[in-house]
Amino acid sequence: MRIEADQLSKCYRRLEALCDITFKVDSGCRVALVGANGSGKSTLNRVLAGLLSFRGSLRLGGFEQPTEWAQVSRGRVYVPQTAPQSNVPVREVVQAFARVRGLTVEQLCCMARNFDLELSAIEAAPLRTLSGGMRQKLLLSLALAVPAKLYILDEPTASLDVYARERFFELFSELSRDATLVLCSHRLEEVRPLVDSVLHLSEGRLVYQGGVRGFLDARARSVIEVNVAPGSESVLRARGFRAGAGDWWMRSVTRGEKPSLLEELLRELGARVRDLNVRELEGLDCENEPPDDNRSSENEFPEWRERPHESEWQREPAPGPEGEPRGDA
Amino acid sequence: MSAAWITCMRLDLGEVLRSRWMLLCLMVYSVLGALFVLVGMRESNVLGFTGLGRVLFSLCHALVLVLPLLALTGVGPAIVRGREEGVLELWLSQPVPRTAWLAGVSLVRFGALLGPLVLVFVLLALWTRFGLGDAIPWGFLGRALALCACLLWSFVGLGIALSVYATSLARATTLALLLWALSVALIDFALIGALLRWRLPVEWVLGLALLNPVQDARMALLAGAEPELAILGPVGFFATTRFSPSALFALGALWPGLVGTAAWLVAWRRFRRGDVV
Repeated sequence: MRIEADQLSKCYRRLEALCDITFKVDSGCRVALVGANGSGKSTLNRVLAGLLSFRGSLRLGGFEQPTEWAQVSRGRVYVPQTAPQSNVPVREVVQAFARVRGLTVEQLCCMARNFDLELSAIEAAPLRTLSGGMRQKLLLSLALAVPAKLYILDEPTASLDVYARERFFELFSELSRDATLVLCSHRLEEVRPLVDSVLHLSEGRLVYQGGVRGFLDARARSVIEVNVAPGSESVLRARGFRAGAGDWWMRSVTRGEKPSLLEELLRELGARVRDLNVRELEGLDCENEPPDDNRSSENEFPEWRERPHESEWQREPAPGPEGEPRGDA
Repeated sequence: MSAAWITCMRLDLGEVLRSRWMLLCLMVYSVLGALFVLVGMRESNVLGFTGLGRVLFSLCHALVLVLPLLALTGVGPAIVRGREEGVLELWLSQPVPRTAWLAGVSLVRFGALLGPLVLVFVLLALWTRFGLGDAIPWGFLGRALALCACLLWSFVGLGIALSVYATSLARATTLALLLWALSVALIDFALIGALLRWRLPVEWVLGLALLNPVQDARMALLAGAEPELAILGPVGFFATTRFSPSALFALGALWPGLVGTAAWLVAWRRFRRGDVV
């Protein structure tokens, strides 16, 4: 289902959640919707799902929304970020869903079993008593059982365990390639294999639309940790590394910067490198604009900021007697 | 009826049954009915009529005050709670028309209010026929039921409008209680107070009173039994001396029905195109 948005805006009283967003997503395309908290991702998802009014124009599969709602509603599936906190029993939800989607309850039960969810065992349980993960599995089971043309998934794996997440990836890859996907996620492991383009929102505005490769080169981040022999500090400092404990230095880099920096580092330091770790950060850095130079800043160290034993790391190393930073914290 | 309509109605019926709200309505009606039977009103001959007619008359007099409260507190939170709990987000992103959802909720709640009332009326009629051996006053029974149904529909429509426009459950509940208090206060004493305080023309005050669906239903119910009753109050007395019982019945049935339908349409217009999350 092709999505065409033109000058799409949404205001909540005085708050402008979406501002003149224009984009097109071809039928069969798989798009990641990324952005910082409050950037308008969920609002855009809800507009696409037909839950919010808006200004501007939105066409789904060639049908103007919301006036031609009926023509697209059957081919569209939406999974909200949080499942309803209602007292309705699981059995009623499943039966109602099967009825409005023209499916059988057995089909939905089969899909749920893919997530290790036995619906017959929880059929009497009110929805609100299920754990967040179980509710998410239930919603995904219902959604993926529908042969839809447009899937709108808002943080679909946020509450899932590793096994369920893998099953989701497998099931998703089995869906028709004609189906369009809008996936709201911060996780690299979802964005990388599941989508082929990215819409990046910032403060309600579309700041990037394009291929996933270009986006990940600028946004996906790795941490390079290097343990070096004494005397290498100036080389590392010049390249934006920060000193940590026990002769370890670290720096966060984008995917585009990583190969050249590693090559340079090994060429300059050679045998003085005792150990080297390169770790991919799981989340996308959507809070900050991509750095335009190699200077390090606190914003480039999202993982460092969240490190539980932060005191072990020397944030601002005091100069040593020779003007060099001390390697030990 | 399409699958979507049936689904909406079944989901809301499940909600009504789980919350035991229907049971509460049945209990309220039964307690009121039993109360008027037990206090011996069936034997009272003070105002000229006895038996089931007398019980129904007293019951209806109480119901015109109770029905709006039950309707507003039962229907007022329906939509706003669904919005807050994420129920609307789940179901209205499915092929479920918003009109079906709103109509389904309205009809189920209306049925949940009216069904127990019909049951209590039927039980009272059976008790009269087989317990007391009296004839059932079908005319008054039917008229009372029709007026109660119109009054209920009026406040179901108003409750749905409140629920659609309210931004939170707490606000919807507060507004529902305020609306009930206003409609009860405007029956007589607030109007007479206004008349005395600001020296409004009598026609204005009476016109305002007749805009109140509770007042219209009350006058139609009571005037159908005895147009000369002093308990009709000044507004009721004024109206009954100028309109025939048939005209009052038409006013008591049509005006609340019209108010409920207009409020429902206003809510529907907002719900159909507005935000549901």
